[in-house]
Amino acid sequence: MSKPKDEQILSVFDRYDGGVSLLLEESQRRADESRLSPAERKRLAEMRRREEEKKRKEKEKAKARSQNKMTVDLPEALRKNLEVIADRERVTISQVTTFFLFEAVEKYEQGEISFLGCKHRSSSPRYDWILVHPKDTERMQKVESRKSHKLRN
Amino acid sequence: MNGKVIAFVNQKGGVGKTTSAVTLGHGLALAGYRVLLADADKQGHVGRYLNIPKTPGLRRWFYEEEPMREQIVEARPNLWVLPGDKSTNLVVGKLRDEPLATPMFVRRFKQEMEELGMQVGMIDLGPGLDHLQMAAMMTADYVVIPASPRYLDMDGVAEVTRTLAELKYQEGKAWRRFIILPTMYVRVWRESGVRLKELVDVFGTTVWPPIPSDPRVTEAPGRGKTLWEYAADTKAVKGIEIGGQRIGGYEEALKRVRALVEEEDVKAQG
Repeated sequence: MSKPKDEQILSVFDRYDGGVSLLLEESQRRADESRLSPAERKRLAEMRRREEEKKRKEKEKAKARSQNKMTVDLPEALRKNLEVIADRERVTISQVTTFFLFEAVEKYEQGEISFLGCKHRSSSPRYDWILVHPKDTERMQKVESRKSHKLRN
Repeated sequence: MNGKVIAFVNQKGGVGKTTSAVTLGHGLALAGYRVLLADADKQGHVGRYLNIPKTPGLRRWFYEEEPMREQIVEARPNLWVLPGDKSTNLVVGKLRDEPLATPMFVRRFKQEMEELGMQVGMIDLGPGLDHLQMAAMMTADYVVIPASPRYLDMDGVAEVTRTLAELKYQEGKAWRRFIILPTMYVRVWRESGVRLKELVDVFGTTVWPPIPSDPRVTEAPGRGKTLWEYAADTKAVKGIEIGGQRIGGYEEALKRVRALVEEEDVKAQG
């Protein structure tokens, strides 16, 4: 963190350590609050306590959610579609994706949709197949080019 | 790995030089580094702290020119101490009277430390800025200046940094870095905040997050235990909690010391 301009003095060391900055802010706050009446200080302390409690709860919630977080590669067109829908419906992209996935997973389990004709042999040591949706042109192109490369060689 | 030397210096007494040297030294030893802790304080408090006999190890090593390996004591696994006592005065005299004594101190310390396979050498110095402090600073790769954020300690920091500048100018000595380690920080004292601000205004990121004041720190030497053994859960070790995060304390200082040692090694390899 850089020093505020009006506090800068001639020094070869121009920054504060992050932790030290936090302590200095706290120290300054204490000094400022020492001018207040005891009742006001108490009110401020209560406000701060509530604020910290709120932050702590939010942090806990985020931590609990983190194990259900996934990173997936989406084709650009699909990502844009999801963004448009989320924007139109005024909800988060995460909620839109979750909604659609519920539908799709249910249909898959009931046999209404399958991967038939969408699986291509993979040369990966980890996976046997590459699954490509017919509309996923980006991935389809990659699979096709790999196939033709193999045929050539 | 080249052994790194860290000197703990402050002209002012009672600022936490020995506590910092012992705590960080033992912390590194617990992390698996082979650490040599030289007690260059005439009070010989490192020995007291670690519950080993106070012997004239430093004097015998340097004044009587005996090998270091015969004087060191393994106080804890991986933590070797070169003890000192009041006869360390003779070492100071030799450094003062013999023109080639300081370069010999520097060379012998580094050479023998490395022969013993030590990865980190720490020199705990007593208060003052005499010939022994100079020799230790000339030996060191890093100089740590423990200072409690009080008015008189500011003067101690000024004296040490001025001496560092003089050594750099006169002797061409260059340090990898010097570090100001604020100790005995009392969160609710205005004086602590004001003096810490003064330090960072002048020395910026050279000032590390402080070690909070904690009565258990003063109890540990009496039990012959280091802070990791006696009070590992206290705020002096864990730091101050602000907004859900921990600031300062010996745990953070130890992480930073380790990072210094590792970082420089990577650079040296590169």
